[in-house]
Amino acid sequence: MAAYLPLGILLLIALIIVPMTMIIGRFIRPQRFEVSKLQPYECGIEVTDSPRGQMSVHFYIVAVVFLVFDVETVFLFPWAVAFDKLGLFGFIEVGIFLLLLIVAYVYAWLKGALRWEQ
Amino acid sequence: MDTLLNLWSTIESWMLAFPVVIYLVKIGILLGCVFAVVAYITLAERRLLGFYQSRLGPNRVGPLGLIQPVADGLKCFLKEDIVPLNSNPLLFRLAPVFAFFPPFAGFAVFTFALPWVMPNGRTYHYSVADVDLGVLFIMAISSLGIFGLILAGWSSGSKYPLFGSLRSASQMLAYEVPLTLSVISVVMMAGSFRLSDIVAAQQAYKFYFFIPCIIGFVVYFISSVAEMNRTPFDLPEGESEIIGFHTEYSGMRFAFFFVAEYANVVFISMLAPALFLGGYDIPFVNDLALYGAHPNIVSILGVCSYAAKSTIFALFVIWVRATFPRYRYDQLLKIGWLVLLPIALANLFVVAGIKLFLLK
Repeated sequence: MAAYLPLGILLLIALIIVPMTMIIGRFIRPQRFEVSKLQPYECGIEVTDSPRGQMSVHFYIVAVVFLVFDVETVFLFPWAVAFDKLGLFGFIEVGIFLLLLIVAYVYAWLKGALRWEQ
Repeated sequence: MDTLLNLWSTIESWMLAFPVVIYLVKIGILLGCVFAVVAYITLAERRLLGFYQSRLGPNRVGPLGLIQPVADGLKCFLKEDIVPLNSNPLLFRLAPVFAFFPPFAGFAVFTFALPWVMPNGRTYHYSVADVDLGVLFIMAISSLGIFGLILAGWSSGSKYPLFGSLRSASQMLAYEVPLTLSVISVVMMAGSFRLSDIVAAQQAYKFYFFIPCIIGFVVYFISSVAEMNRTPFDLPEGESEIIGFHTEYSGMRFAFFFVAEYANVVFISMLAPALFLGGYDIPFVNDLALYGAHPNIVSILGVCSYAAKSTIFALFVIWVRATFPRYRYDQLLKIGWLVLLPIALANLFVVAGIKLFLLK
């Protein structure tokens, strides 16, 4: 566990850099606020409708498909490390596991979850 | 010489009493080097892109434009900090932090050479924390970069950054799976998550892992270019044509997104040699036999070899940016899901087969 201590320290330092720079910069940079300057980007015209509009459902489908495959990679990591010990047995077993996933992948493909041009 | 050694052993006994001092010194050196490299890779890219396009690139600030990165940083630092009225101020301020820290924290688990041996026999490792879950840590922390994009787009309170961030997020998700799968093939060859073990395995096998995992290496390269949001997959930025997730950001906060992108380039270019190109192994030389004779010469040459390999990789990434046109969005997702993912899975089986039947 002690090996992770420097990792934690570096993580903290990396997290602190941005807020620290912004706080130091506050004393140096100009601050002249104006309402028109703080408007969101809209090509120069008045803001027309809410930014929190409806989204294409495809983004959610992509997220779900990603979830399936990301969980798959989580299962593959321990198999890859222990591959020497598992040998042929592990090879066949993961083959079956991946085959099931490929079925799901083909299903998603046929359902049009991976199609974007309409 | 004797007085120097005595002085060193006094310093060393102090450092051993407080190991945190060693960590802090190592972290300081690491972050200093990384910041310098990131600053100068921006300059290198602008100059090289200039040459590719028959221009000169930035050459005015200092000799050959060498002080340009400092001038850029100073300019952004002195700019006004704008938080739009519509935005969610807390998340708007938090987003650059999330975009910025993953590559910098990820450098902790790299090992840059075989250990340095002091005259009194104590060894020092060229790494901040060479932990046993190094690769897993890298994969975990580099996916955190997506949070930065999503937060930036959503908290801006403006339509276009939101669209931009959704686009970038689904792009990064699509390419993360092939990236992870190609890394798994290397982990399988080495049988360890520790980056120094992966390099040691390549030294022990006497060939680099890009030979058995050549498909994995190509998949890794393509999907890491996409993860870095660079041409030909630079839809999240699309500098002059499409609006990206950081439209509402200006000044130093924008600079942090910019630095994070280049830090990612450096990060990927340092990870690729360790995984596929032998890391600090010196090509065509039996390092381990030499190390027994002159450890310090080998470790310095190892750092040089590592640096040379990652520089070549980074220059290759810049070359790709100068050469290829941008993909359309549906083409981009199609390449990720329908081409790279099956290839990466097939590569995993090929590598497993090689390991099982050829290397036994």
